[in-house]
Amino acid sequence: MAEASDRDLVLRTRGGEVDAFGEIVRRYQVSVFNVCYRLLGERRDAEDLAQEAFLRAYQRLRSYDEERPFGPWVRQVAARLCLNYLERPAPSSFPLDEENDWPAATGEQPEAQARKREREQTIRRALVALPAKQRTAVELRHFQEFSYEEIAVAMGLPLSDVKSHLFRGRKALAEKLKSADRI
Amino acid sequence: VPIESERHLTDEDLHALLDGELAVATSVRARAHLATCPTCPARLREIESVFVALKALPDLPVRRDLARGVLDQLALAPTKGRRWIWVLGAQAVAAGVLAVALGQPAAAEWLALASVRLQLPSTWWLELLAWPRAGWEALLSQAQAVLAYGPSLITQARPLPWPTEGLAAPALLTGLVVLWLAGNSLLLFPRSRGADAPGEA
Repeated sequence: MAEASDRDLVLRTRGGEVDAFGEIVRRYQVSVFNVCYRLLGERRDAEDLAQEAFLRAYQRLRSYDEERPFGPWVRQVAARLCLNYLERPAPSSFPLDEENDWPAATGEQPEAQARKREREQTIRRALVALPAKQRTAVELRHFQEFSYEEIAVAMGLPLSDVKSHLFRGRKALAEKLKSADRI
Repeated sequence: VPIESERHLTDEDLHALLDGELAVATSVRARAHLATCPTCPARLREIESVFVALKALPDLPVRRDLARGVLDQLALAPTKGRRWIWVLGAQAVAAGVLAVALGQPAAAEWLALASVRLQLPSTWWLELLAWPRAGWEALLSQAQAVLAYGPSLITQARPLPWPTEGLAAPALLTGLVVLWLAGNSLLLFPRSRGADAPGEA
């Protein structure tokens, strides 16, 4: 049997079939979780916020245009949710988890794999160390492929602020990666 | 801002070039400058290294099934809202039925008969129930007086034709019950509404 399209699942959810929304969640939970994890750097918080993002998406499903792809929309909901979370008055520190369930890399030597993982950890740490708005701008541009204009709308900021956050974020990342390479 | 091929590219130009956010003509001039400039290509490569690093980040697997959690939450929220609405409705109906029943003159006789049949040891509660019934009776008779007397009150300033002290206790109790029910409804209505209907996140 052919797999139901996102559009069909959304329409069925709107019609009251809550299980259809469960199918949507299963389709996008990895990508939404990764948005949250890149922004928060902590697995449990990322899973909680990813779940919360789906609940928000469900509540706002009537305003979603089903002719547009669902993935970018729900990931944007997640990114905004994480930004709000990061900007709460009580500052939180986000120690990056030591991940031990990396995707299996086939055909690589253990040493090369270890180097690769170390490099990825360095990038994630550098990302999590950025201020919340810079981090979100980088996430939306690099991982969600939003234009400057779309980022401005998503973050509710003027275009000039978006550019500033993005450019500063990249500069800080470049410096951190350069200094990590020197070690 | 147009880019002249002689001047160095700003950081903003370099970022916008890599993001594909420059106009075509501006982008052509920027690339022409990069082809001959001794310093700008190194700056471009530094920014580009961030693009490469971020692109290399793999997605990590999610350890728990978020769908289960989402569906559980969705199943829980509306039920919770509806349950409270039912409890409130039942309270309001019970209070109304009780108030009307106690106000009936026949209620006292019926309760006294039930007390005898059930062989209840004490009838103190019958005396207690006489109090709200008397209040109801007073309220009803005074309401009738208002209906009869009301029109003349509007045209002439005259003292009220009934004693107000007998009404104080029933009026206070009724007011408290109404306020309590209304307060509960106001508190619970947004929650039940939020759980049932999609809203702004």
